Amino acid sequence: MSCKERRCLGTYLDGEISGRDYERISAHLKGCKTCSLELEGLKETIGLIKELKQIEPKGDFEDYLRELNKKLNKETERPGLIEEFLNIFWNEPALALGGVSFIVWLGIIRIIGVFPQNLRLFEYIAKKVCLIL
Amino acid sequence: MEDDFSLIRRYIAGETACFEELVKRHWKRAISVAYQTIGDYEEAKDISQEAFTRVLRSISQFRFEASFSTWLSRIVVNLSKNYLQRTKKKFPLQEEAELEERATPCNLDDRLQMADLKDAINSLKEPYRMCIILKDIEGFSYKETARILDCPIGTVMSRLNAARRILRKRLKR
Ligand SMILES: [Zn+2]
Repeated sequence: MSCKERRCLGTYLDGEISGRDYERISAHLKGCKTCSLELEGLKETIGLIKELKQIEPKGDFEDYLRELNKKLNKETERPGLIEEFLNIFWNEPALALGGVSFIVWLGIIRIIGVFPQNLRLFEYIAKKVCLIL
Repeated sequence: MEDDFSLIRRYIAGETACFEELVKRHWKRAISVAYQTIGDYEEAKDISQEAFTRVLRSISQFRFEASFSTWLSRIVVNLSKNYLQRTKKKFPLQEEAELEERATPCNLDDRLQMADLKDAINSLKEPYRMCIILKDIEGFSYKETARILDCPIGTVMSRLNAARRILRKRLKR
């Protein structure tokens, strides 16, 4: 009952249909009254929609730019490091807590792991210094 | 006139004044796209400015493939969609008395028809409405519309066809 051509009449009107399909639809339109009526109606509707064109802004460009610059300046004033850190705590407490415990854990590992060697190195340097003296 | 790409290149190279020129070229459309999507002028202006700040933040990642205007519009559309979701606002494209932008027909019949059309567009589901706004109202091409909405061009075609047929049926009544 309904032709398959009817579904793409809009694309046809926009001229966005490839050559062979374009010819096929053109041929169909010559023989099919329903589709050519639909095409006319569609043309009218699209014309009407296109009358709802772009809006014109209310103020002028200078005002717009001034407001935009204000926003941009606000953005470049970055919060301090501590403030940012507190922000993380506030927004993502789990993540922040995880991060802090990870750092503490790393610190402990480092002190335990490296300290004996450091001690030996220290001893070595101290001996050398004594020898020189 | 110098094209957008070279303005962006010059901006990245340190000529900050070029950004102002980019804004000047695209601010009207940015406001318009947001306004058509959400139906509130002040919010639309805010969204357009937010879009420019985002553009500026990521301008070094611009890939010089699609146009600047599609890139900007994509950000504007996404911000507008977020706004609609956040506020659960339903009926954009309302008549705003102060906006004398549209061709306002003197004929009462025509005016009623325009009002009907706006109602009909408002009642479309978002993906369909967006295609009508971008392609038919804002005049983007199929390809640009597809890029802005981040979907295949075939999807834009079929949505646009469906949406226009719905609108046509609504107006015929
Ligand atoms: Zn037919």
